[in-house]
Amino acid sequence: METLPIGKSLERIDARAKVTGRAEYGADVRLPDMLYCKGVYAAHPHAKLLAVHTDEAKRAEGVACVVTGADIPGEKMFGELYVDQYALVCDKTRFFGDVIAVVAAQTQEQADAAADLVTAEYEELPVLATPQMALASDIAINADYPNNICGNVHVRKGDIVAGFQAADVTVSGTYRTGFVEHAYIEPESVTAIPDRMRRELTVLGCAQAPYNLRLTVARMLNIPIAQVIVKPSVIGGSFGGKIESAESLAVRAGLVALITGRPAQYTLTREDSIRESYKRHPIDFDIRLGAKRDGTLCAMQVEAIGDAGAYINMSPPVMYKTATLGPGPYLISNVDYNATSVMTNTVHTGSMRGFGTPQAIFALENAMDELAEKLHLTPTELRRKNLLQNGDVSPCGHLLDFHEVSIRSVMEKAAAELEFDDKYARYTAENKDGRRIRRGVGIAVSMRGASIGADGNGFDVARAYIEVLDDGSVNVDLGLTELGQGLRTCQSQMVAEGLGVSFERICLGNTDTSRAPATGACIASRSTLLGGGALKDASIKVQAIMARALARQFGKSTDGIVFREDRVKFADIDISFGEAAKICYDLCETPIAVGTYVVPRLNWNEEKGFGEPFYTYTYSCHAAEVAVDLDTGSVDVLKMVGCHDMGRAINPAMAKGQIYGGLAMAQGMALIEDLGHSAKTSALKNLNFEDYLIPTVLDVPDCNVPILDEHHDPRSAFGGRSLGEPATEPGAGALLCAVNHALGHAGLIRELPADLDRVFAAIRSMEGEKS
Amino acid sequence: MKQITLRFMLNGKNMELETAPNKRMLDVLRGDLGQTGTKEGCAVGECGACTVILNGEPVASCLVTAAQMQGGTVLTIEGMSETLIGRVLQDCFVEGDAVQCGFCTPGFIMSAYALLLKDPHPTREEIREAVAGNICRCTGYIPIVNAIEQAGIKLRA
Repeated sequence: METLPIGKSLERIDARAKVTGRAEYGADVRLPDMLYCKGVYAAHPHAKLLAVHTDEAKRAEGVACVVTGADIPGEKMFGELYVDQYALVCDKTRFFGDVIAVVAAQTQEQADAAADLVTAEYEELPVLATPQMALASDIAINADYPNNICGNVHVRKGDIVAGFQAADVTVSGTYRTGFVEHAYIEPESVTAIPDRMRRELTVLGCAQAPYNLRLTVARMLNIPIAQVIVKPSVIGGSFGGKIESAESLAVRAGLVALITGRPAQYTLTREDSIRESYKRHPIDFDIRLGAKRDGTLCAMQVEAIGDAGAYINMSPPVMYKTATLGPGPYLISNVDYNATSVMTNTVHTGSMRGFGTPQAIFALENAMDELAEKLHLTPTELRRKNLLQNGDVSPCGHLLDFHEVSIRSVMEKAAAELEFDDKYARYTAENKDGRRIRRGVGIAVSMRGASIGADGNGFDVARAYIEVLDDGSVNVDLGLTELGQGLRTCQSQMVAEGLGVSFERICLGNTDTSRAPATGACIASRSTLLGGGALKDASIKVQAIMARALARQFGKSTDGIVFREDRVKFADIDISFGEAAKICYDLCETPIAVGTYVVPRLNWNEEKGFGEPFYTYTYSCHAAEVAVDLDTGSVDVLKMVGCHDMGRAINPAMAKGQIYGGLAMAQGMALIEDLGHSAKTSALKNLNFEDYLIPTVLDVPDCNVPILDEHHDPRSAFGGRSLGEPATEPGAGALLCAVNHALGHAGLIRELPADLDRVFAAIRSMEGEKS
Repeated sequence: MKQITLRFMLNGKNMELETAPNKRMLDVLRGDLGQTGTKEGCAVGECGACTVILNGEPVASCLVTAAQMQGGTVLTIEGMSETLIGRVLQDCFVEGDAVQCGFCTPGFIMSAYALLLKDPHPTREEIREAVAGNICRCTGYIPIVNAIEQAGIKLRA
């Protein structure tokens, strides 16, 4: 029997270090003579920064240096796509999380104390705390964007006017979501270490995107890229959150390290982490759907406004995903989806697991339930009527003829596990008997584009390095980061299968940007598809080198050579992989290769908002069951089911782990997580876990079920594709559909989070209407 | 503030150091002693990442002072491999895929250790209550509860 490495739930390679306390996270780094840093935050969220006074802080006990924006020798701003973010403010503060100075001292306590001694002079400007205020104002937060609009994607298909004219029934309404914090349990920490021989920096710590960080540090501190070496530490969760957040810390700590010649560690407190790190976009959706009497969708029109906050960050690509994936996995001929991001003086928003889609799916799926209610159909009946099938054209115009369009099977499996249809009928009936605790069920579906999409046409690339050693062990250098999802175990499984060797031969070391070739980052649920492609390419190249050596050694043709299950076979030769490796070295061949994978150019028409927005898709469905207490407004989640077709599960246990975690994260977004943003001052009130509540073990149902509905994707080297983001994407939508079902009125609650106050108010207004 | 001579037992070894009496236990462990397996996630006792065992009870070490450790017995993640319960828990966390990013893991293992020390037959509900003070953003908790339940079964076998 064959024992291929993929598809097995192998033990994660970093687990033993993590359960023994040996794993070294950013703040665990200890170096001789190391300094500790503390940032000084802006006192005003929108103000000209006239002066920063640091003399007193510089004289404080233990202080080695105090730096400000003026000390940055290179470019003053950074950003992955749009360069507009300060690591240290130079001329104007834009939100409360801006840092105006950094104090470095012998101990953290000394740095904290001295930071309080830094003062500044400001000329205050009006605070634009919401997109509505920013759109109405003639003041530009960023002069390059005079109307404060920093991103817009407009998807159009068919004829929206004719679509609504053809509709028998329409629904419309406004849905809103709030800021969501990533809430990785490890607050950000980086350590910058100056080289003793030359102007070179090594950066350790929580870098989700080490090559982006390298570039930012190089540009801002005037160091050649090759002399910024990034070695991510073990990372304590990220969910998209430790990209730009880690970069600004690295620039500040790097500046201290270069000035003092000493290692500098910069660790955020939880409060500072929440204050300055970017969030999930709050998005307002004006949504309108039209359908025939039998439920066939004929028109979808959405106007979405996202709050970009103080810096552009990832807002334009987030709007791209909102607009291209927001229409869902439905067959619909007439679509007009317009997503716009607006800058404000609030905390900036950027990458977070889902990247603009959990919000959109929440809005669409609840509107779908409104439509179902109006048509006297159940939620599943309406969806069954409209879900995509093989050969259909997606809402954006993509002909889906290249893989199994499995969304119907995915939904049916989730629905069956929750007994959705039965419970929907039962609860609908029993809730009419006047009971005060009502149950409800909800279901939400999504299709997620793998990787960046056409938005990244031409630069959606991954690279990997494979080196076979003369004992047959395999060194792999890969710049895609382990964030806890199990990436490095899964990538090891893919190399093993690609090379045709046993898993045990694979040695995937820690990422080191001076060793692993530059790769696009571990973002956008792209690493299985992209990393797999690069590893496959490198494997083929290494095998070709080995085949050449073997042909020389044995004097036989290696045409049709097979590397499989640790054996190498050609002609009448059958040797172990280890023997083959040794022959290469005996003959002075070099079985080393760098593999590259680039997503093929996608045919997307940006002007028309139509075409192929992504290369391939993952299909997902979440179903949820809740109990709502009409007297208190409390929502008890009874069960959630997550069913996903991620192509092929490289490591099924870890794939299920993503789903368990994604369901819990969706629950937090749907029901409790609230940063307490002030629409007046733009401040965030809830800066630690005593106020910013995330689900605990007692909140999450003990009976949640993850389901894998695998259909290997021919567009992926090893058949697998995205799961990280899909795993949380439809959950908030499903939960709100369930809450609204329990309350007897689809679309009753249209704003997240549906916390105690909001649910209670909805119940009061509903009962007030009746009485 | 005047320093004190702090004496306590850490993972079976006698410790003696000069430190400020109001220093956080977390800083004594991570700073003075370089035992960085215990993590800091919130500093207000809400996340549970800094959980250690002090005199048999799980405590948030960010809320305990050095003076409160005087003469005490402390167990941390670094000492778990030397205990039977700890070893079994570690194995079950690994085998049950209860570890993702791993930052909350030491705290969960310490809370679970304290539970299994007192009650080798916990129900799932008791397990859930025992780790209710530990938060995890990655795993959705079920694999963690499974791992602790499995550890109980193995320890009883």
